[in-house]
Amino acid sequence: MKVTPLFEFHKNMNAKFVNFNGWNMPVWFEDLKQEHLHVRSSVGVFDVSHMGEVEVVGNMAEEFINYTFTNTVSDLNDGQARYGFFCNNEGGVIDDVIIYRLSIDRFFICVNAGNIAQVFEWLNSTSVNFDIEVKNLTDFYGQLAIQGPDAVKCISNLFSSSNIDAIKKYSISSIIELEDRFKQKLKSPCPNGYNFLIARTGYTGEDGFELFVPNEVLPDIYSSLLEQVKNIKPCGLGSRDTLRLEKGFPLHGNELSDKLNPIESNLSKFVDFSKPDFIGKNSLELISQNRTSTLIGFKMYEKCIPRSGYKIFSNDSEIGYVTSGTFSPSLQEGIGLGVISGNFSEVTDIEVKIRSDKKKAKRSAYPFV
Amino acid sequence: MSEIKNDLKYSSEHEWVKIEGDDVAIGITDHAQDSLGEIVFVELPKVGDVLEKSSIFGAVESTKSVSDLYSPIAGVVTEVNSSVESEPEIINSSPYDNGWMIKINPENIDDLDTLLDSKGYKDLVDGK
Repeated sequence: MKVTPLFEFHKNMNAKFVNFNGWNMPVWFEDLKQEHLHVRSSVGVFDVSHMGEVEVVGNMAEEFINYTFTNTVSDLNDGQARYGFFCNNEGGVIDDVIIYRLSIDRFFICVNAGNIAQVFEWLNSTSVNFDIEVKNLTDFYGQLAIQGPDAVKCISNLFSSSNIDAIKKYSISSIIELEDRFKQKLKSPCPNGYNFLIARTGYTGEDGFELFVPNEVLPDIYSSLLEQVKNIKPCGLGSRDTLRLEKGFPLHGNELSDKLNPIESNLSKFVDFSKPDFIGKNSLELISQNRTSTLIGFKMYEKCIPRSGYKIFSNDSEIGYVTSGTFSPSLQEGIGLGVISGNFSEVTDIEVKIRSDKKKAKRSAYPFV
Repeated sequence: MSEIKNDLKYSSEHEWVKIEGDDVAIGITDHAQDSLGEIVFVELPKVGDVLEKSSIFGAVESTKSVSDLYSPIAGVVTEVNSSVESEPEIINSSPYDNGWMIKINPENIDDLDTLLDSKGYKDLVDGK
């Protein structure tokens, strides 16, 4: 299994590990619930160095992204970011990504760990008619997510000469302090000149940042963060998942996949049909006119925990399945997302089959918190 | 390091078994509770349920995951610990005492000989 440069740190902090897409990653340190609630109330740091980073560089970069990405990037300024999907011709989702415009001819893409090779190959093979280069920078960058209402304060103290609070939501900027501190020391600097990037993005629903920094200095940065920032708690992928699910954020492989398209997963606001063309557009338009399934949120009536894959019923008919479920640390009740047949899109009461019993659940709007 | 009690028998599914008069008490080991994390839900059988050896008698769930519970021996359920149903975190804090789950009247007490002793269980946990 692959490990991030912080593996030894995590081991020394008694992390529990889990195999996530071939990466041996911390799932929690002391306690998942405490980590979850700490991110909601203060600030936590996640090692997400397993995530991928890909760049599209060249004169036709914007044109190429607009052709491959469901959302538009035409109205972005330098440093601004946008969420959306890379879809196949059938409208299935190859990956859901955030794309940052570093400059008009350079777009930086944060890719899910399990999809890096596929995304890179797909972009590469699609790029033949475009004057661009696709670069896989995954081995170069490590990534830290610093999330929670105290994230701004904590990062501002750490990087006092950067105007951290001025970084707007969904924007990215270079970290001057780190460039100054490490530039001479880097054995192999990033070819694009941005070794240290900070984005005001995340996957927890809280304010916060994602730092893209060279793997070779990631341990230095992580240890200074833990030393200098009071209250920051190392968090594992377990709470990252419960935090995103409470906010109703999709996880690729669960709510989105090559079989689950963004329209039926209720994410059409990230699909810009006004663009003249993009891969999957025709299929997604057809799906919009004839939806056969829909994503729903639900809460369990009694104390029990829905899990991904459990079947959903309405009056004894099987109508779908749970895509993600957990016991919400904030709400202290079972919550979930699930795909149900479009014929039942109006149902308000459902049942989830948990082991041998069908347990009642109530349809719920999401975000749940 | 997780605790392994010398006077208990163990299953390879990380349950412990303790003789209490004619019955045996069953719970999950310290190693099991530590691997699961904070336990938020337990599903247990009813008094009178008949359990086959290695049959699933319930489930224990943390926020992250669910684990089935397997009966280490065959028998009839004589008692269920309702405290762990209402406060499952007891299993984390006291896996070998207050965190017991069920008591069963064994079909054949000799079945206990098929289980691991503390050394055998330690080897299992250590991956030997």
